[in-house]
Amino acid sequence: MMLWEQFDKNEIYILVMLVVAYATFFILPKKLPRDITLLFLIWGFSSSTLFDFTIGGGLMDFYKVNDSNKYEVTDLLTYILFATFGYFFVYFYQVLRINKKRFIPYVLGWTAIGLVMETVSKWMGVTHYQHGYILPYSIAVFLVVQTTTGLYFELIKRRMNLGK
Amino acid sequence: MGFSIFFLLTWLFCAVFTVIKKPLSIIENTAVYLIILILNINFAWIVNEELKFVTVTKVGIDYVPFLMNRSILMPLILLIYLNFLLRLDKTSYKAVVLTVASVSIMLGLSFLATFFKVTEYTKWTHGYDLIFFLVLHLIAFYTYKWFRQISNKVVHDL
Repeated sequence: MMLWEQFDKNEIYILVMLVVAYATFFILPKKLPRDITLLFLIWGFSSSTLFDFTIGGGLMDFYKVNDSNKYEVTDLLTYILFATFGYFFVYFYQVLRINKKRFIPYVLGWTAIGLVMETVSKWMGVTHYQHGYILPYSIAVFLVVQTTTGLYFELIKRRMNLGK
Repeated sequence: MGFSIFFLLTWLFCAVFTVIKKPLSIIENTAVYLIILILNINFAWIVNEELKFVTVTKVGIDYVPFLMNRSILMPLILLIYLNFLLRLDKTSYKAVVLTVASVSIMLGLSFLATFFKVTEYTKWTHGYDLIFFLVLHLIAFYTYKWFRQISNKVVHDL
């Protein structure tokens, strides 16, 4: 594992985003218990890891993260950044009191945010598509991840008797 | 053939996990699963793709068992192991038997993967697998302990 191939705009972008995301995480008033907060940070980290190492590497290898196909520390920082998105998804789910009626617009809204973020990531050199992959394919990834996250959070709320 | 065998085993372990009594809470089960998933994926990538100690098949249908084993079977076996372990009254020889059984199943899956040419060990041995699986068992156990500690301090009322 190397630190990075070249320290340039993608590394700077990841570091800035990390500061912004974790500052927001600490500043926002806590609305979720500690164990659920930690669980969804791990959820975000593992979702990005699972997809990157399944469709973004190995046999499919549809995209390259950061400077090379080799494992860089910057890649790890990217997954640490994604951890906060798992948390923000359920945080605002709780704050905005998402219910059955609001579920679909909420997931579609996050999918739109995901597409914008991915476009920016592409500009900043964090993601590089290859082997015929194009941005709209990520819609499937976002819809699957966010729908399962929302449904799983609903299950957790019911099991742990979390208030609405 | 490898695909069918691994699919059957994945289904079987999913079914076993669904029907067993689970002393771990849903949060603890999920946390252990995800931590093991992250570690297993990263370890597999470093050993296979970075160090090239193991060659993974380039044949699509044979690659699916690799994914099932890495992302579903391994974490799930550890969850089943932990849920059985915590049902034991106290630490006893049964815990040792359970650990041996769990590690043996994982090793068996590694043998199956090499048998069906899903993976080919070049600079890797099943002895290293054994060490890795034992470490995974320890990590799974301490992840559970860590989450139990956090959950015990939390009152789930918002």
